[in-house]
Amino acid sequence: MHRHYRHQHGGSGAASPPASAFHFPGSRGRNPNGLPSAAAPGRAGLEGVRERDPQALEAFFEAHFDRIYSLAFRLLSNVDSAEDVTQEVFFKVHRAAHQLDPDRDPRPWLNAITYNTCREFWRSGAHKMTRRTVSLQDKPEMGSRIPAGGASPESDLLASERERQVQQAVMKLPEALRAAVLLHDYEGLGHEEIASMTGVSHAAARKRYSRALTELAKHLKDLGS
Amino acid sequence: MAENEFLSRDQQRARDAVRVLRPVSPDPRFRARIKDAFLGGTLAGVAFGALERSGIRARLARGWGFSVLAVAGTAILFMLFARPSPKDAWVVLASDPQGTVVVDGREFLARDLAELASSLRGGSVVDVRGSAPLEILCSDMFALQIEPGSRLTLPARTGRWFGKRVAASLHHGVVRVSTGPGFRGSRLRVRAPNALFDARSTTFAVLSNDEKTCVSVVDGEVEVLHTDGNRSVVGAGTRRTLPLDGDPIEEPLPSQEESELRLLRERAAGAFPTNAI
Repeated sequence: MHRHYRHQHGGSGAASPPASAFHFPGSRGRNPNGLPSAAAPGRAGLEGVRERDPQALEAFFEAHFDRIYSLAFRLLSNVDSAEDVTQEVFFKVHRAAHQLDPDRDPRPWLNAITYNTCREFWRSGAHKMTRRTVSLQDKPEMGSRIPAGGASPESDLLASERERQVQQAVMKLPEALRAAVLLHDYEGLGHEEIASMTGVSHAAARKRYSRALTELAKHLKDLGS
Repeated sequence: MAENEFLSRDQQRARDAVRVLRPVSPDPRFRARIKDAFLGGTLAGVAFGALERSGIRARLARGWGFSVLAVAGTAILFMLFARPSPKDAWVVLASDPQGTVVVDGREFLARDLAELASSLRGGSVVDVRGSAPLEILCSDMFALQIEPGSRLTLPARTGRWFGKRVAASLHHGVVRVSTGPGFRGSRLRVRAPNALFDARSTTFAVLSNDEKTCVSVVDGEVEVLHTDGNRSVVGAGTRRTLPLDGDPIEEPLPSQEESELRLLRERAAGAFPTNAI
């Protein structure tokens, strides 16, 4: 039996928002990438988003923007690309706001938009150009955007170095495997949800995840982690 | 059933490494800019898909563009350089007014110059009957003088780019040939019963009867291919006789034959069109 878990980001010390912050029936109370975010708008707020009410849009933006950016960054490992993808996601959200179902948690919808936008990016010439010209090491400022929360500067430094290696190993995975492991273990989605997002069967999603972990473990060993 | 039961130790370590990745905060300026645009409804899309499609379109457009340019270029080159070869344009220069000419089995009065000329084609078999030779001109390619009692299969005119070798067949009798300015670079082969004669720009005569075949050259040279496979070259001012039985004889060109050939060359030179196509 598959069980959705609630994973904790022990190293960061970031506080998880309480499950009750998401007032949606059926919400599993996950802790999406551990990012502290404002309380997500409830049904009335989503009705406002549908009407493109500025206040509702602002609450929606505050609730989801950082998480979407963070996921995009982890999938793409490039600040410029992550910004482009995030901008495109929120452009699509604004354009399709009237399609938002106020009775349902908007996060699966947002995740699907984010993943699909990343796929569009991967297929685009822009991505090929980025891949040729920019690597993770070319973006030292990335580390400065990871919130510090360790006991000491030294532990922060070690954590940052460890993250850099993990991110490097993740980026060595093929895009489909990278998405499988990040959506499951970073974003906290279940295999069923990932399967429907990525258009594969549940069994295929699980298999892809298992392969991703195997390859990731190998890359981590190669990197000496 | 816990997920961990399906994962190896290494896989669990990899999973845990991803789970402890910390969130990454966006650049505050970027965040503020997107927020303002999102709330104001002025956020522009980046549209990677559109970029990709436009890339494909651009590639297709480039492909089409190249194809169109290639076709247009080929057409222009064809029009400029590969104009189709003009058809035969035969002109009768002289004939026996009392004589007749049989072209492909059809008899014409030799004095009806236009009608006779219009019946002539490359490959036509011409029989000249009467007391004076028939002189005909094929555009600026060559002039032929066919003696009475002769039968000749006419050569076609040479092509502009291809078909530079043309052939005539002398069944019997005498034919004199003077090539024109348009013949440059071409080759005329005259087939006789027991020899072949290849000529480039030249004036020459071939005689063929039951006893011998002769070639007389007044300028240029003619290559002779014997039926036994031997080759020889007949130079200017020379006549080579090939008896049906016996060895070839080479001798100076008889004055009578030489004057006939020179007259033909002069008349043809005055008759060849200067810019014939």
